[in-house]
Amino acid sequence: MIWVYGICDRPDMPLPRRRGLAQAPLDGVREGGLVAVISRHVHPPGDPALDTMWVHERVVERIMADRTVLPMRFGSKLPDEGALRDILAANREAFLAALDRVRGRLEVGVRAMQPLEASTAVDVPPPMSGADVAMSGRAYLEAKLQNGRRTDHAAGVLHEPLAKLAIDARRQPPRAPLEILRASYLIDAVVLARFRGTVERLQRTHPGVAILCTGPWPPYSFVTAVASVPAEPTAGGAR
Amino acid sequence: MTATRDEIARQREVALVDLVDRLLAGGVVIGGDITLSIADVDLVYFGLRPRTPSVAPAEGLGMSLPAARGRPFT
Repeated sequence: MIWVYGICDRPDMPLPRRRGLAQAPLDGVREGGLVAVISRHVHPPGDPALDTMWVHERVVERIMADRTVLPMRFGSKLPDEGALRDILAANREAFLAALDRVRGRLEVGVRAMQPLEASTAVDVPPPMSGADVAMSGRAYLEAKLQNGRRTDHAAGVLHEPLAKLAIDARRQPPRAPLEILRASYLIDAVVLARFRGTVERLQRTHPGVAILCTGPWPPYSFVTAVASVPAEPTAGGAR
Repeated sequence: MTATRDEIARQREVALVDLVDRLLAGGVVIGGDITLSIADVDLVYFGLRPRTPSVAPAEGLGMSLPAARGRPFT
């Protein structure tokens, strides 16, 4: 079984000498100008434990240090190289287009949270109650509706100036209690300092909320559209 | 910018949640056997929270505070 970390378009570049999950060495499966970075396993390391996720993330970050990469969702595994080659061949154009889209770019995560001690510090309705971490689908939707107003408010004030600096932006419904904005921004790498400067300015001008910036990340939130391409094995895929 | 102990703990938690968000709900899906569906993500969060401070040292979080400077991915 092979575990896939990411897809790159420079099959000529040597892979980093680094170990992946379960200390397995990294290898590349090349097809049609693409290379998938993988490791081979007898038993699938599917346990989504935190340390396992960090290993996956570290590998993707290392690859991204010197080339463009489409990060795979954690848990992307295939029975053999042939299956992977088929997918690379069948989705070649979509993968190449996605690589062009994220080339030279980074993802930054931004969350805005109300202070734990002062939920009245900002002019928004109180946050949803606690114990919502594992809420049901219906409760989630209800909370989402309830949170709509304060999310919209946060969007106008915090999201807009950041989105202006970004190539693309994705907003997700707040998940954690006290959270009023959760968003990802795809930015040119050269804009990173300016983006952070803008976050600092927003923090200074809005002391009532805590603005937390994470990253830079591999562009996880901006390659999911590629996943909608059905991965139909080609009958005569080059082996 | 000075951060209180609570704030630092919360920032670590946020970075972890960001990691889980991206790895389990983002990224390219190539078919095959995906471990978790999006519906399971909340369950994972629940399991992760108590372990947060001990499992993840600050420098391992891919986290940059607003005032932080530095090159990406060094």
